[in-house]
Amino acid sequence: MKKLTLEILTQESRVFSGEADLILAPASDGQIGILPGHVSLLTRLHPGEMFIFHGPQIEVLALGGGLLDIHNNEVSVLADSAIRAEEIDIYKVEEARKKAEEALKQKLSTREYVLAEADLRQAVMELKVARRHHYGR
Amino acid sequence: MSQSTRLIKRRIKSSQNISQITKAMEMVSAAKMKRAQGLAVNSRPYTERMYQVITSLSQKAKSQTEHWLFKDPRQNFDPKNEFKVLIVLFSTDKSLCGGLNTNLFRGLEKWLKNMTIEMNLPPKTSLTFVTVGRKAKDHVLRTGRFLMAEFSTMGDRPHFNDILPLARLISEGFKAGEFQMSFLAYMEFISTISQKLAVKQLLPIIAESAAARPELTFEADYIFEPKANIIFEALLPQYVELQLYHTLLESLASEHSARMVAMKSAHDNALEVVDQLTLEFNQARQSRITGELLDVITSRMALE
Repeated sequence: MKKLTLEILTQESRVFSGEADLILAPASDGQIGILPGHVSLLTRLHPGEMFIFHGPQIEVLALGGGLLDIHNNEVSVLADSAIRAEEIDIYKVEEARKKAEEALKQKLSTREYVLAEADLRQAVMELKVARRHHYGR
Repeated sequence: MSQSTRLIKRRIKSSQNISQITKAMEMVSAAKMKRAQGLAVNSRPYTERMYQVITSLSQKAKSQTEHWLFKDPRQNFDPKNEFKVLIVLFSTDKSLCGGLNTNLFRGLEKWLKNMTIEMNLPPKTSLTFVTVGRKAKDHVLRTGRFLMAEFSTMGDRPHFNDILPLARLISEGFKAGEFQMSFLAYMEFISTISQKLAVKQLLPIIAESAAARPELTFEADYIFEPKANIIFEALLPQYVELQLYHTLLESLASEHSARMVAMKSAHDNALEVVDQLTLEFNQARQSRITGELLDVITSRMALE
């Protein structure tokens, strides 16, 4: 059976590079599933969970938005941030969430508010992914 | 005689001090270099892929979208007007990095001489500069050119957000027609011992022909989600930011590499000088001892 080749890149590093049978990604118009033979597509990604199925293995990543491009069964994800579920440090993220929540309570300029809100959303999303991953086992 | 040995001794001491300082600077630069190189090399695939996506899509989507960042001003340009070119020059803040900045400026001047012909520009062109780094600012002012803005000290750990003001300045200036073309000039990081001048066109974005890069041929049907022009609207400014950020990382990696190499050779030189001076010192001491011995012997012989 044909497989997808997937590459997940961020500004800092290559997070994932390998084959996959099925990919679930948080596209701008809702979750999309990608199987081999998908038509060419370019879509924006929302922050959310990404699932990579390869044989019996499932890999879960927390994505912080980005861009997804498919052609010829090659999937490339240009993510603003991407972290594997098992690499998320729950305590650290919990702390980040608290910090962001506190920052939101204080009076801030619009720009700072938006930044803090983005931080909070990221932390909450990472927590969700990490929790599901840890309890799922 | 004793005067000269003391002098030599002092010189040995100062050379040793220099060698210690340069050694320390070398080690600091080595640590910074490692990080800067890592950042620059790791951000390359992302930047290159983004470029691929944009250029290949611009081919496909040309019929669907028309974006101001793609507009080539060289076409339909009224030759009576002045064609303005913006050059974003990246240099270091500090010196002591060997010939890095000298090579940068010399290469740039050479490039500027041939720019009008090579880039196929209208005959009446004027230059505007935006600089990142103190040395670049100094150079532009020294050569008496027009400096529009300067950004100094992005620091050793530049954050993506640091580049946003610069990116906005350039994008908006281009949109408003303050300049018609923009180039990036910086020292490209090739390896620790080699950096070379790179001048890249930033704006308008060049959409390379798909035929030139066969690995990027696309099928006819391409789905865009959301609509192509919405994606482009968000993607193209991001592309400018990304290019600038990547350039900053590259020039930083070059800076630290060049500094480390320069400090290493300075350290080696200092040690060589110490060796030479030590030899000179020993010779001087020996000849003094010989002289004194001669004195003793002759006076002894005179007594006998």
